[in-house]
Amino acid sequence: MNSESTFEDRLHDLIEDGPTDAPAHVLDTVLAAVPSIPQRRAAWRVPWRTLPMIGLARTLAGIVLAVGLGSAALIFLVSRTSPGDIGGPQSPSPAVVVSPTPSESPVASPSASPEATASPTPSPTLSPTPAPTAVPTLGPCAPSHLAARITLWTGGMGSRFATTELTNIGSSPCAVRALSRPQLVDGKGTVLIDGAPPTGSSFVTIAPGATLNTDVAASNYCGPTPTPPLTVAFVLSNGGRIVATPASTSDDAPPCNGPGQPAHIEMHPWAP
Amino acid sequence: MQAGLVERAQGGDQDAFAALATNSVDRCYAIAYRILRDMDRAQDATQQALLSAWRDLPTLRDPERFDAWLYRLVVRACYAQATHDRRWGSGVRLIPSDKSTVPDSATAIADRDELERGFRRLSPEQRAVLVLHHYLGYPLTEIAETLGIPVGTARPRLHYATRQLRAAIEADARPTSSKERTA
Repeated sequence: MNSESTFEDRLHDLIEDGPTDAPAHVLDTVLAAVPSIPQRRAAWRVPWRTLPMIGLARTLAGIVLAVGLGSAALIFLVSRTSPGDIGGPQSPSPAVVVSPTPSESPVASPSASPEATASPTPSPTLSPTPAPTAVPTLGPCAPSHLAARITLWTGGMGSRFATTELTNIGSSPCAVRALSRPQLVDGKGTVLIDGAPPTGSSFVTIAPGATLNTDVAASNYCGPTPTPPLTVAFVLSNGGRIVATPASTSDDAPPCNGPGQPAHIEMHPWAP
Repeated sequence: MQAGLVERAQGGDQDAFAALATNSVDRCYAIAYRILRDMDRAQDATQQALLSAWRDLPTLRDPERFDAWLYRLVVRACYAQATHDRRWGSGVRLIPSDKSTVPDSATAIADRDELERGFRRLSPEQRAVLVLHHYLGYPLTEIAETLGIPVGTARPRLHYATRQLRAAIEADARPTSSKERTA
């Protein structure tokens, strides 16, 4: 009992000891970087959860949302003339997959859930909440409908981390694989580090104008001096490629930590 | 007052966020250091957590929970730092302790080193739960909420972290004891 309390006390003392004040440059660095980092939008926070709304307003908002999503789905179906870009072998399925549980109500119910019914009859339903799924519930995004940009480079532990944002610049919701093959690319388009193709991946849906984010980590670049600016690219499963807009012209390549050792690059899954 | 700052920062007010960051940076750094046991990595983790906080702040639903949400970001940033540690080397080299050669007056220091070495052998997840418990004084429910895990997961994690730390220390001490017996 006594030794138990002694051990706990020693452990407590060990954890208690240590610096309590951060060096000033930590905060300075953060505050200097903040203006260049866009905030992630609370894209699908439904208004009836945050604002007091009367019943009629809720109903109207629901109807407007349902009509809007229905129109978007219709436009997407009509405009999708070429096969999409991602998802491996092209799927013969339509761009919008019919939900296995179509809406039971002929009228959209705005208070039931943030998911809105796309039409008054049993019909495709669209989820406004981007979420990883095992199979795409929407058509794959064409590369021309996607724009990527690096919002922040950070360094540490001999690595460089590119915080990257992917935006659906098309007019329809679509799906991207959560993982692609990342590449570190210099200003001439030379691939400095080529990542490994992902093995299996879920899908993430992305609404028009919405963004997904990832962090790409690159390390141990021992090649010739690259031409700035550095950026990252993502090779999609069918060979399509998206090159991110660089953050600045002065970013360094990851340092060479082990000559003769392979360079490394990997990405986190795309996430809202 | 803090909730007001959070709401303003959620709306893109950089001054409000600067005030929040100024209030929080020391605590974030202290937590990160205690998990990572390295000042440079703790600084990196703190910066990463605060930048993530700015970027993701609009997604925080309850401004009153800002602190817990921020500490979760700090812990995640520590996990990321620790993952890079493992992937790209620079691990901690463990030197077996030999308390028999340490004068009595220095025994406390030797014990402390032993404990430090044992702590560094724990996984980042185990260190995090110990730091939240011993440094922030969080109860299990709050630890679970901060780490985003069920209480049923937090409880055994805290238990096994403590037990594993004790086992690591005993394992360190074992060669010394056997040496003493054979001498």
